[in-house]
Amino acid sequence: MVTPLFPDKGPSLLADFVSLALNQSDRSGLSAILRSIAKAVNSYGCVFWEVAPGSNFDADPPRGRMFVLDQWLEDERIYAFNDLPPHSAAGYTVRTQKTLHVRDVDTDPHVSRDPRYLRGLGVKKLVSVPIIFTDTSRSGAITVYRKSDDPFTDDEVRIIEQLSLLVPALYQTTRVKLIFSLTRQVDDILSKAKLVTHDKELSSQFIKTEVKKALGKVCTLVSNAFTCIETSIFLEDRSKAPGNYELVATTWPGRVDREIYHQHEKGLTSWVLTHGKPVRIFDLANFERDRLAIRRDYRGLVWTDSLDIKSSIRNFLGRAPSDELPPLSFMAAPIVIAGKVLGVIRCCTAKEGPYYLAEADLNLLELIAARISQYWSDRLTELETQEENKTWKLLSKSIGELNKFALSKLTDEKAVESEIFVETLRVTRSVIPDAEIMDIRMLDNETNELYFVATQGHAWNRGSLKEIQSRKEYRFRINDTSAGAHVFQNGRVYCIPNVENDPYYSERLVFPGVKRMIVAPIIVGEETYGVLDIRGVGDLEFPKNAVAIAELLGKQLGLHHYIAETMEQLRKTKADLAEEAKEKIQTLEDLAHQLKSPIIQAQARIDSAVRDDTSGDRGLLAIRGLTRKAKRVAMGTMIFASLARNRPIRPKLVKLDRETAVRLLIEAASDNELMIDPVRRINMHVDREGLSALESNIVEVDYDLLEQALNNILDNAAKYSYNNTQIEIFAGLTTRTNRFHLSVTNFGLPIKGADVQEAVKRGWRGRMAKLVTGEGSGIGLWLVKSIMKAHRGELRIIPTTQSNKTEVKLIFPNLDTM
Amino acid sequence: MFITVVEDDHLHAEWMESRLKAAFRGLVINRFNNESDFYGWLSQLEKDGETPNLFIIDVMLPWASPSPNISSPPPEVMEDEFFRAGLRCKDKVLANLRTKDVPIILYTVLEELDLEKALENRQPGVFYLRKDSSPEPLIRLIKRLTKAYR
Repeated sequence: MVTPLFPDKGPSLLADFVSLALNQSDRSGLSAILRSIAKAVNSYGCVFWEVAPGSNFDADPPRGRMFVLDQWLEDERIYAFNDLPPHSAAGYTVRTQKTLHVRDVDTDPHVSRDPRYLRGLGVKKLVSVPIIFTDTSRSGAITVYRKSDDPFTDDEVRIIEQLSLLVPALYQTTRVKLIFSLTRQVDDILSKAKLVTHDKELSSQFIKTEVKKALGKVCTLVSNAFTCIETSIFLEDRSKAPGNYELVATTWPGRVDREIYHQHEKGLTSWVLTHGKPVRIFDLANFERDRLAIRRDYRGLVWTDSLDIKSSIRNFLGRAPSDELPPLSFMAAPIVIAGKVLGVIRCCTAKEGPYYLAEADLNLLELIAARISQYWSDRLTELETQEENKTWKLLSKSIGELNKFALSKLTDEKAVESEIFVETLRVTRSVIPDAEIMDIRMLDNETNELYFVATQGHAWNRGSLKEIQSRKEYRFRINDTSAGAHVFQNGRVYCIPNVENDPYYSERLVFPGVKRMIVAPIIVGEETYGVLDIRGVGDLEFPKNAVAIAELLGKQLGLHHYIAETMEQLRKTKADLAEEAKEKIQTLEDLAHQLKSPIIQAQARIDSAVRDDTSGDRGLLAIRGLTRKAKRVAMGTMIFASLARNRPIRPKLVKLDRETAVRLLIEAASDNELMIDPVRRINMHVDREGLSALESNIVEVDYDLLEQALNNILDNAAKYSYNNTQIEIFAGLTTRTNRFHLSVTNFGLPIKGADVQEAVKRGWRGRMAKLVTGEGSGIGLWLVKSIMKAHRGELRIIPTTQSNKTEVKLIFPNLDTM
Repeated sequence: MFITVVEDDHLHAEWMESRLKAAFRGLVINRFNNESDFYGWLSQLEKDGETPNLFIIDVMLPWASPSPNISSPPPEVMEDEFFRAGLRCKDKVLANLRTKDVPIILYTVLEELDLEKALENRQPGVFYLRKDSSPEPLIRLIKRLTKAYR
């Protein structure tokens, strides 16, 4: 036969108790369990005491105190007693691990040091039993109070003992249920919040609002679960304000004292942010008293009660200043992902029992923090993706506009590449907002140096004019160890997240505030033309896609530069071709003019002579001169055409006798003099004396070619002589080589020594010569030179003297010595 | 009648003068053999002098006669040289308040095709005539123009 456990209460008591306990699903269920115990033995109340952290009841004398973990009192009054000493009824129970039955609180020595609470409550009897927590580091006692004079019976004591024995396990069960319930609800809130933004293109502001809403619900949930007055979440938005941990959600009803925290500051929240570890304080009101023990657990933790937390809580709970307060517990867990602290969640002060935030509570808070960290990390990624998408869209649009701009500039008659550089820097700034100091450097092919072609940012223009100039004119050799040279050499983007310890960063003195830098090559295929430099000075890191953007813009610049170079080449080629074509057209026009003019004139004069019979000697001479000129131009054209096709001149040589030479010179002089406008008063004179040299020297000439050469020289002399001068034609032997020459001197526009070689080239005409002629395309002397070369002779131009005399000689080979 | 001729070929100028004087009684001709001298006269004409009834202008002309002190030409002269000098003279005539309505004959051995681009959008008072061994085409055109513009 089984002896009933509770003979007076019936077999259902235990079942009812366990059933009730198991039905509790939140932390406040402990109070219901305590109520059940009190009711089971018809008592006024039941209090669950716990030994405060840092206490040592085994010491002699025992140190520390006990506090109320939770309680139930019949009149629902709340009394909190923080400093129940070791020498109290509950303390005795803990120290001895024995049940204590006090039949008269006024006389029992075990309660002689208990404070006034017993009298205040009107308690007369009590039973206190030791509690063994599942967490063995904790110890406590459950005390049942009775106000009537009836002592507890042995059965009642046994009931209290048996039920109390079950409390830790049942409470633990409730806690497990709480963990499941809380984490499931938090997961539910966060996953619903995720669905809101999933796959949608939403503004970052909208996403943040949704985040605040979701985390606000989480805070409420956590606050309810832990019966906390305050639960707050602080998060860092690393893309907007790195290092700032801003309040996102809180259950604190009033204004929060601080909305932004930073690492490495004093205080509990900052300590968690700095160390990435959780913190749990038993009683903030007694922080100073427990300072040593707290510092042992949390190295470096400093906290001062700047808010007067007791007064704040009293105000919040509506308590009188004299009222005792329960422990003002605090716990905070870091919101961490992959070792990076994203934020913190903190809970403070239970508004009802259980008042103490235990280790298990902190573990649960860490679980919640882990879920928040995953959620926030996803949101940050989402925000960053949104930002990246926006940036790429903006970049895509900007590059479209940039290309349009570049195209308009590159197709200008004179392409200005510098404007494209400046525009590219502007685009870079718009898509990478933290790009504070930028520039473009291009290669100087002659010196192998990189020099600045465009700059942007205030830092470029700091200091005196001399400093600015020196900064902008600084050059980097492409084989040195600077970042620019490094990128130029290997053609790849180089990112410097922190310039402090980068081996290639070489601008420490130029830009002291720079913290990070990206250098991208300006490149097309394998050809690098320069580098694009982007520097950041603020706390914000470059966006993740900044390197890819820089690389893209570098390639874009490369393409523009390549197009600019190609366009320049095309422009030059086009100009050269146009110039060549123009010259050809002008030459043809000129030859046509030279041919047609004398023919028309000769024909006109012949017509007049025939019709009017008025033509005198001068008229006939004019007809002869004009027809000879036409013949000469025609012949010159033929020689020009032959030489242009690389066909050599083949002279038909005959011996030149004196008589023929005299006639040639006189007729040539006469013909050319006739062509000179009489108002210019220029005459030609033939000195025959030197022609006697032909009697002793054999000179062979092609008569037609010689006539051509001589007339060309005389034509030039006539065109370039000053008014009122004489052109002299003479012959003789050269001084040193004794060669026969025909020479012409005139006084007029000079040919300088430096121009002598140029003057005989095809198409050359002196600057002043171009201004005084109405025909002639600069092939006269070139033809003369070619004719003399065909005679194995020489055309010699003696540069103009100070008296403006120019001499041109046709020198023939001395056949005796050949 | 007063005709201003810009022609550098004195043989042609002499012949033309004799033929025109034979055709037009009392004809007065003043001739310039280069561009700069013509511009000098034209700018002076704005202040003083008799306005001609007609201009006969060759196309290929020198800027100046050879001398140690040749006046500096404008950039377009350096660019196109003598090839289109007569067209520049034509523009100066049209730009001159005194002469802008006086008819101009561009009298040249160049074919009209050669001057096609330069003669596009030609002003109403500007005429092209190719040089010929006969003076008749020129005389006819002068008669027509001087009658029309009389």
